[in-house]
Amino acid sequence: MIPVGYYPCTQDAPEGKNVDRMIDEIMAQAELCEQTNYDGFYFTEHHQQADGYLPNPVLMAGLVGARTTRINVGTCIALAPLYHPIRLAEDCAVIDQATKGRFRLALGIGYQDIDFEAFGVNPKQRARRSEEVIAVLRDAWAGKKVSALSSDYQFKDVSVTPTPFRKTRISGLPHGVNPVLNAPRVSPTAGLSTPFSQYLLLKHRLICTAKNVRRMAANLLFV
Amino acid sequence: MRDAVIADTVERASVLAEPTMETHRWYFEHGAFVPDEQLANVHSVSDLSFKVAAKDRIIHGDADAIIEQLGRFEDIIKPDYLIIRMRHPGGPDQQQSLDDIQMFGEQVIPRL
Repeated sequence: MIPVGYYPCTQDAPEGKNVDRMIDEIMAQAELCEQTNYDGFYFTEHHQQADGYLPNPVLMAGLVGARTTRINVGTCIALAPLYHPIRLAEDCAVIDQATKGRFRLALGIGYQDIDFEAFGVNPKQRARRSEEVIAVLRDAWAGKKVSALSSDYQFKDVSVTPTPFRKTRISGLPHGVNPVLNAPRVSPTAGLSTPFSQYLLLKHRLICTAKNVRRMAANLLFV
Repeated sequence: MRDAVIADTVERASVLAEPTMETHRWYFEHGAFVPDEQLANVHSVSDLSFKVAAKDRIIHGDADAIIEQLGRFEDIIKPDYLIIRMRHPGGPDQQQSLDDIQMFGEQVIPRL
């Protein structure tokens, strides 16, 4: 059986005036998903949206995780270039501990300028920054001390504590792929509007290049 | 990741799909629709009908129709995981969203 996850609308159109109520509704949706055979409940990420688009999928996954006991909770996707890798590694590990291993992180590289502007990140650096975040997550969650001495982040011999509840498995899953990631723009949400035939092509290409984040756009990276 | 529109009939789905289509028109205008034969006669966003957009892209209909569509999905790309969305800023409302979640969860997921 293919596991099925659900992802809610996190936009309170038009002006984001009832976000509190919207979050209540999302919680009710998650509780129903837990009762009706879904495998997981996942959140997306955008910033500076007039409709109050919820900006922090890791936080929301933690909130849903606290209200549920069975389903996986996580992101689909979080925007990797916009996170400090230590903070992301820590937050995810804490949620994974709190939910007894039900947290799943999926990362994308982002495509909307306004998201990058919110954090002062140059979109042209998104592939490199994503690679760095993933490298830190991989080592930190394996219990290794991590260092980064790049123009983006500078830290040395950092221990991320706690580590996740589960032994983590990092793998690429097809969502969208674009071979010119360093272009200022790539197709957004390729997964949602991509027909089956091209999905297959993307999947094959992704499997071939799963170790090379520069060739992956908004792909899912589950841990 | 897929959008799904739950409806008793495919015809009804095309009516209920308007909030989903609002989102997909945005995707189209932002270059997210990779051209394929289905889009051969779509020259601008106004040409993007539900019928055109839905084929192989948006899951729609009742449980049997959805099973059939996801069967193609299974045959062609053998997905490891399916993540669906059924609500958009324009709707449906909360009660309908809960009904849709329940229908998909109880009538579709066990048959996948």
